[in-house]
Amino acid sequence: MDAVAWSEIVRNWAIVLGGALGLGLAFWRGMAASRQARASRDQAQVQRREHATELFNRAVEQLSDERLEVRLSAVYTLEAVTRDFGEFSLPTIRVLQAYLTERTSEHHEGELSADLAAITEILVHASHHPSS
Amino acid sequence: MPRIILPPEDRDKFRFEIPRARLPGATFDGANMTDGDLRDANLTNASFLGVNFLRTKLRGTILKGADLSTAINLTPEQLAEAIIDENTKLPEGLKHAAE
Repeated sequence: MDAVAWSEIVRNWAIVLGGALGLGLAFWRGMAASRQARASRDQAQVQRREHATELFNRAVEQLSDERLEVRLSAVYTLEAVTRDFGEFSLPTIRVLQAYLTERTSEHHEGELSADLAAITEILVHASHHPSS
Repeated sequence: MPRIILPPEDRDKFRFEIPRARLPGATFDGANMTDGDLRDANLTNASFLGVNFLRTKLRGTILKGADLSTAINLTPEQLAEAIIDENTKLPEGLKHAAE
């Protein structure tokens, strides 16, 4: 075998090795990018959940506000949180029931205020599900 | 109209529990109060059209002037524990039991 033939063999092996190395590198980079994307998604989800928890806690506090508009806003905020985070639904229902149980005894008799009517409506609607 | 939808895994955990609540004139039409707890609640003049009262606890519940005319699964025993008056509208089958 002459020198030219050897040179071609070496070149061909170099091409094969280079290709394999390139594929390996591309695969590794792809995996790293995928891991990074997953981590970003998880991080975003954690941040959204923290925000929802903050909204939930603040709304629960606002339920005991003296002003009707603040209490009503709290009820609607709680409802909005449950729309994005279903796991807050049952705790929210229980908070609202506790509110009716513990707080309404302080209210005067007469026409039902808008926040209490809204909470009652939420409970009536939620009650339809157990038998369905 | 505010609504909270319970996820399927939580639906069986829901009970209508508002003991001691003071909600005169409230509307509960169509609610499912199965195994619920309304003990000592003041629900004077409230509306309970089509409400399911299966095993609902009504001891001491004030139902004066309430409309129970189309309520279902309400028993004489439950009514005997509740506080009603001549203005309470009862289902046909229970009017006699209340007298």
